[in-house]
Formats: sequence, C-alpha cells, structure tokens
Amino acid sequence: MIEPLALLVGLGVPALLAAAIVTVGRNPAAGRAGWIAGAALGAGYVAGHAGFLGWPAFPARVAEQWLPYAAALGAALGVLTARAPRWLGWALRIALLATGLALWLKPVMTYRWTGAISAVWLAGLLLAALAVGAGLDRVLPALAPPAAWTVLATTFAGTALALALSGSLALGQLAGSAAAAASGGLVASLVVTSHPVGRDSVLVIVVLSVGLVLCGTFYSELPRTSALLLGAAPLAASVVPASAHARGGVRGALCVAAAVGIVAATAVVLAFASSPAPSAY
Amino acid sequence: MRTSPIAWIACALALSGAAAPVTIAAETFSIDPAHSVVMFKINHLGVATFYGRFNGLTGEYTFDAASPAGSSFAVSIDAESVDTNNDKRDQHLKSPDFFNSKQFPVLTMKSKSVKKTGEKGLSVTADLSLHGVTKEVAFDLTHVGAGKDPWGGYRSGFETQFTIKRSDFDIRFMPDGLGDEITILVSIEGVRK
Repeated sequence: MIEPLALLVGLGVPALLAAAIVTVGRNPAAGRAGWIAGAALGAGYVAGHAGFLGWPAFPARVAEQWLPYAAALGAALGVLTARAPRWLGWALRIALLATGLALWLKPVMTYRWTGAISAVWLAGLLLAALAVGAGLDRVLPALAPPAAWTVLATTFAGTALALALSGSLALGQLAGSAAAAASGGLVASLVVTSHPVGRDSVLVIVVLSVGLVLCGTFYSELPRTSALLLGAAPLAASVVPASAHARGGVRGALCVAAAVGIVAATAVVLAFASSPAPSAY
Repeated sequence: MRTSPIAWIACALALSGAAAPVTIAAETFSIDPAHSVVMFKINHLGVATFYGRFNGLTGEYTFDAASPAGSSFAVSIDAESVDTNNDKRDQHLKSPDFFNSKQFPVLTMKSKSVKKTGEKGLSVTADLSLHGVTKEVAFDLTHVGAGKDPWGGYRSGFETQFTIKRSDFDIRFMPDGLGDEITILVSIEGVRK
C-alpha cells in the first residue's frame, strides 16, 4: 500500500530530475562527458530515497540508509575523476566500494560473523563488485545512450520487483527510485542527443546495484541466486550484437532490454518462488 | 559446674541470631519462556485491531517484596520470533520495513526504577530498545502472584500493558495502513534461582 503522493515523490521526481540532467547536459560537441549519466542516476536516486524514506541521519542508523550517501559520493567521484589518471579512478572505486560494503554489512559482522568470516566475505564481495564494475566499463560505453539507459532501467526495475517480492516493500521502493531515474534518463536520451553512459558513471551504478542487492540478501529474504543474477544482469547486454544497438533508438534499446530482461526476470521469478505464498494481510 | 568458653560463645551467637529481625532478601528469578508472553496490538486500516506476538522471550528479574525499589527487571525478545499466524506477513514484519530483525535482532527492556503503588502494584520506568532506538517508557506492573510449583521450585509472575508510538522508534513504514500506536502486553513467569 503506497500513497499516490509517495509514488509521485519517490518515482516521479527521480525520473524528472534524471531526465532534466541528461537534457541540460547534452552537448556532444564538448566531448564525451561520460559522468553525466552517473550524476543523473545518483541525483535521481537520492531524491527518490528522500521521497520514500526521508533524508537519513548521518551517520546512518540502518544499512540501507547509507545508500543515498554512497550514491551521491559515487556520482561526485565520477565527476571529479573524469579527467584524472585511470589508477586514481580505480583507487577511489576500491575505497568507496570497500567502505560501502563494510557499512552495509556491519550488522551481519556484528551479530553473525566472526572476524575471519567477515574478512573473507568483504574481500569476496569487493572482488565481485569490482568485476561487475570492470564489466560495465566495457559494456555500457559501447552502447548507444538509449540502449545503455535501458540496461540500467531494466536491471533496477527487476531489482525493485525482486526486493518487493522478497519481503521488503521499502527496499523495493528504493530500487524503484533507481529504475525511475534510469527511465527518465532513457526518455531524455531518446529525445536529445545525449552523452554516452561512460566509465565515469559506472561507480554510482555499481554502488546502487550492489548496495540494494546486499541489503535485500542479508536483511530481507532475497535469494542469493536472485542476487547473483541481478548483479550480472547488466552484463547480459554484451551478448547483443553491436549492429543491433549501435545506431541507438528504440529498436536497439529493445534488443538490449530483451537480453537484460531475461536475466532480471529470472531473478524475479526465483524471488517469487522462494517467498511465502502471497496472501492478503 | 564450669561452662566452657566455647559454650558461652555458642550461646551468645544463638541469642544474637534469635534477636535479629526477620528479613526477606531480594530474590532472583529466571523468566520461564514457556509460561511468558509478549503480545502487541496495532490498528489496521483504521477498521480493526490486529494482534501479534513474540515467541522468543528470555531474561531475569530480582524482586524484593519488602523493598520494591530494590527490584529490577530485564527482558530480551528475539525479533525473529514475531508470529502473526501468517508467514508472508511475518516475513514482512522481520524485514527492514518494520522490525528489521537481522540488523536489530534483539528487543530489550531493562528497568531503571521500581516503586510500590499498592498491594500488588508497581510503577516502573524502563529503557525499551526496539529497532535500534532506546527510549524510556513508564508503565504499571502488576505482581500477579508467587508460590511453590509442583516440581519443588518457587515461581512468581508479573504482567503489564503499555502503549508506545512506533514512529518514536523509527518504524514508519505504511503510516496509512497501520496505526502509529502499538500496545504491548508483557506477562512473565519466573522460576526462582
């Protein structure tokens, strides 16, 4: 049960904000500003998070309340490191992801894991997040902007559904804010000639994707198979031949949506199957 | 007949003991989870009152009938044990939307002061920790009774009911579907240690 006003603020505002940033930021003549997509997604998510759950205190009291801070920082780092050496971008990516993982998993490390197990999980998840980021570094910039935005919109929409079906409507709403922001970016990229979703946008994408999925896995009942599929879903765009999406437009976006959507939909079905039988309550 | 010094000392000790006032020391009890319960009720959709319970309850208390101010109560509740007779709803209640039981696995209530208000009545202030937020609550506690059990032990029981606002504990999801006020009923039976 979500109030229409909450939907408007939590979904409408992120979509409009992201679309506005992509639209205002259009100017291919000035070069490939790959960070604009990240700024649009990050700003849209932060607005949606605040719309649904309010602005969290600092330091955040619960794991998911670190997400807007991580998204804002990820987007800001994308802007700041756009012209920096690549090693600096990687160093900051590792630092932000490691910090985010430690903050998101702090309750599990406090109540369930020993020090050694925590270290293994943190290292493993950091490597996985970096691998997804490296994959997105290759996949997203190669796509036409509408196709790249479709990848994000489809992935976050699948994440929203899977999280909502796994016990937490609030986490589903947060992923919905990310999906709405990506949808706004998609619409804008179909209307104006926008910048590609570049490497400088990948950090905020990984931060949001990993953070939402981890919160769903460890603090709600998102199955781990669904989590893995949702983490890998955007990489499925790489199976689409370049000829299908290189020109951009709706057709290319649909091809990419189909590839990513199959993986995301499988994650949703698995989440639905593992959840207690739905009932009115 | 001479009386030995040891006999004199023994006699003096016996007399001093007989003259001392009879005192009942504070007694410590372990909460018996099988005979204790924490229930809650909340308004649903503005049309009805909905009830749920927590099945995992542990703790102990010290009760001093002669001097209730010396009494203390400490209760721990397993957030994962929430039970509303509906698996899907229980899953939702445990999620970050409500109790967030994996991040905040234990609810605790620890008394700060206890005052006698009547033959069976006590007035208690306690720190309630719920959803990672600790707030002071005040409530009337009824001493239901005490006595021997059939297994050679000694038991006592207490009961209270009080109301909190869930928003005070940062549980704000579904403000239109669920009321802000939660009434909590705690009934504990303890076995003397």
